[in-house]
Amino acid sequence: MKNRKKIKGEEEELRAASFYARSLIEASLDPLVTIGPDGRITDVNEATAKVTGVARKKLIGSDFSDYFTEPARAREGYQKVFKKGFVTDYPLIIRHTSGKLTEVLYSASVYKDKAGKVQGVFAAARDITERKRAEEALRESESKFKRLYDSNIIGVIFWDTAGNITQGNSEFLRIVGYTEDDLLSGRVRWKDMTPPEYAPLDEKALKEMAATEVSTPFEKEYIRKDGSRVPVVIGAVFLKGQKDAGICFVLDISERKQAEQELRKHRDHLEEMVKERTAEVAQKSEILQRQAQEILEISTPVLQIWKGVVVAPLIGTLDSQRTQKFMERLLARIVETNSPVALIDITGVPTIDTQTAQHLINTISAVRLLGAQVVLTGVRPAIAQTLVHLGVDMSEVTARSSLASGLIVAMNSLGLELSAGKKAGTKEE
Amino acid sequence: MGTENISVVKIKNILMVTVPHDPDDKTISLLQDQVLQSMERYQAKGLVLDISTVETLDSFFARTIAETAQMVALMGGRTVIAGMRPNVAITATQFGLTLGNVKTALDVDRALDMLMDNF
Repeated sequence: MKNRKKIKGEEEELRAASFYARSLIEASLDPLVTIGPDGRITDVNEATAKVTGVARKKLIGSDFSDYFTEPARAREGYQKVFKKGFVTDYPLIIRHTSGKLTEVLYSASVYKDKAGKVQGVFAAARDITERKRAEEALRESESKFKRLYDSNIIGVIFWDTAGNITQGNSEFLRIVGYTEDDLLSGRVRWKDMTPPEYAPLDEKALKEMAATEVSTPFEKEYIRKDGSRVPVVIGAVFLKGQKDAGICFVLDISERKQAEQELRKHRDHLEEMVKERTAEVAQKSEILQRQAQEILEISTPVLQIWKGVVVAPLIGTLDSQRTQKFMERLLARIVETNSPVALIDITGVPTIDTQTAQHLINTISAVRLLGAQVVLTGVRPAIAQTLVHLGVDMSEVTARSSLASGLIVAMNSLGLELSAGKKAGTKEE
Repeated sequence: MGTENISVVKIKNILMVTVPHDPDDKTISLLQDQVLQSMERYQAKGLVLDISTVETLDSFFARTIAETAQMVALMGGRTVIAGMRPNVAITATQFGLTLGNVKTALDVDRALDMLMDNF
């Protein structure tokens, strides 16, 4: 009684253990399978049914190798297990009924009964699709970077904060004029290649990287192997998770700098040329001005035609500057020649406006202040009309239509009598 | 500038005054006083103001000359301003300064002629 009970208890324990083992198997996401010595599946978990797309009932009793892209290899695999007792990471590709392939690594071992007789193979597959994809992606990204690195479009270096350059592409070596051997021997150090005045810029970049891992690209110079300097733009970033090593691009900008210098030289040259031209123009303009001055003086001659009488014929348009010059010359000549009468002849003046008339009146007033008098001659009808229409007060001015009649007025005022015919001399005073 | 720079000279019945080259307002006022006193003393018929040394003519000077001429006229005399420099004349007209109806002459000789002719 007691014995039966014990057996029953053991059976129950056994069942419980079996249930527990089953749960574990089913809980596994990895496809698990047991295979008999004949290669037929004796048991599978749900994960296997999922990965093959075949129901569990159908799987059991079917040939294990039927579910792989290479059945022969699959067969070979479990035969190896029977032979050796186990196999690890045996690569196979499971084919789903829909055609989807799953790359897996099989680990398997034989299981035996109490007597030590081999019952079958217990195999667990690990889905490595994700891992493969990640590896692929990594490889791809590496190859992309490698493509840039090998293209030698820009210089690329791997460096550390101690000042070493651990690796650099040939473009970088070209820029700084070192060889691959120099680099491998550790002779190429970025700290040693940096001129002292640029050290603060490097410090700044390192500080920036300590905060953000990346440095803003900046311009600096490197001392090349031959001692010459090369202007570059560099930008650096720490390697992932590292604070003392990074990768850095180096761009040679010596051509750009040279172009800039050329440009500056051209500009300077241009400026020089402009300056020369300006000087030339200034010189010419000075000559022109002097000539204009001379013309001005020639154009306003003041002639003494009799003792005590000067004549100033005005020709052309009168502007302020010309009238001013004229006034100065006329007054000076009156004083020089001690002439109490001045004849201003405006026959040659085409038109007259308010300003010009005012200038004339000023001249006449100034002459009066000196103690001489002016006789305005050559007043043509058009000029007379204009002067009256403009409302210029000419009442104080002695005027005559012709120079001849003006001359008679002048002579009379000097107390001289002209015996020749007194024509057109209408007296106004 | 003191009063000793102003000298009123009588030639026959004409007074001759030479104005210093840069007279200040006080000198100009003094000049007027001396001229009028001399007019009274000598019973002069004419006045010649020689301004050939004057380099600048301001509005006060211009007004005083015009006023003096009017005063001399009231005392029975005629005034002629002689020898104004060209640049003074130009400046005067530019600033619109006038001497009223005062007669002008190129130099003292002509001024004397003008005054003599009318006696």
